[in-house]
Amino acid sequence: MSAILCGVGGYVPASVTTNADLAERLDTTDEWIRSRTGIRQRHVVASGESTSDLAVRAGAAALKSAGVDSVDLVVLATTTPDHPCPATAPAVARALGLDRVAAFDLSAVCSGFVYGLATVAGFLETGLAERVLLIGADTFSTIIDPTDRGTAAVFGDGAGAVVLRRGTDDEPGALLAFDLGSDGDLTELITVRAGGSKYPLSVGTMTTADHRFAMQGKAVYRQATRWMTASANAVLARLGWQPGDVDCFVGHQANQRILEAVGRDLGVAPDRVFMNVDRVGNTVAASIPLALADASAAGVLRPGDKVVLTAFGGGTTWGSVALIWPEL
Amino acid sequence: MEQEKIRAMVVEFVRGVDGVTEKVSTTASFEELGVDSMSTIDLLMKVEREFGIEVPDERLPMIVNIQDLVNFVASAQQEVRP
Repeated sequence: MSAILCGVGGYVPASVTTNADLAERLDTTDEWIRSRTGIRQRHVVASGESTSDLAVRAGAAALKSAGVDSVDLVVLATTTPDHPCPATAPAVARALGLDRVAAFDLSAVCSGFVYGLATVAGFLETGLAERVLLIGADTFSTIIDPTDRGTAAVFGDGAGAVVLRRGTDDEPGALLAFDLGSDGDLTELITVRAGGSKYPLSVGTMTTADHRFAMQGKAVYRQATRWMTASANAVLARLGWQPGDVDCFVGHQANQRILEAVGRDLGVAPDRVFMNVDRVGNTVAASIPLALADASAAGVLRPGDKVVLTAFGGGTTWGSVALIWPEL
Repeated sequence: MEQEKIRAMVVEFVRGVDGVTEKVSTTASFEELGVDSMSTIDLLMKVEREFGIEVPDERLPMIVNIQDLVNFVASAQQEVRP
């Protein structure tokens, strides 16, 4: 048995922050941001809008794309849940009218969606579920340090979702090979230091930026390039695919420069490396499903395409999945 | 490998970065040479590959110009050598 991708949808909040908007309040320029990241704009939630609101919209779009109105399980990959406790997935399921189904959150930062695909594939292959809604949604605008140009310029809010069902390996949309990994020595590279059990929130942590998201950009750039390339190569090797066989490489939309470097190191032609990072920025767990929704809607992803998805994120974590794109 | 040879190779790598002018000073910062932070990492990764060494993450902030990089490569190669 295998997990078959059979629906995709995405959603970004209406409000847009352009590079010019950021240049008004930060020591940066449109040129500085574009040359280092390729990002022109990012979407941000309005006051009162939260991760679950975006997740519900993307989830509904994916259910519609799959032509179904029920699933047995909802998994939400996120690093910015509505509350530290409880998980956000049950509320998302309820809002989608998916009453009393199994629902939980999964946390692997920017690799969350790929880890989610592997997780739900396990549920489907073992028969614990027949159909699953997997959503990646994040609102990093709520946790970044707005005075840090290294992160404020990079991250955007959004959600993306896929529906997967139980099927067989030879069906289009079957998840054919996985690679997952982590390196806990590099925890400090991508972190919100305070607010967990090690450094509980206090007046003290609130006076520093420790409750805000922080990233060591240079080291992340290097690690992301290294591990996204290695992980994508691992799934190619498992399937006996050559880099030239890949019709569409959908990497985590962290940064245009990382995606270009990974494409180059893999040996995948630049026109086969999909990018929407210029329009949405780094949307963390939403990044890959949002890119899939965009690429599918734009006709860039066509039925029968050999597709490799690869992510790198906090933890650090990384992972890849390969599939043949289905008719949606 | 002698310092001079390492320097010559590193200078060639730096000249290969987009936007870098022909004349490169070994003590001017990478930023001043037109090598932005991410191109610096590309450069380091190329140096790692070509010289068969590894630059630990914690050393990244200390390598800000060509001379720093040459010194690092020379010392790393000494360590590798038995």
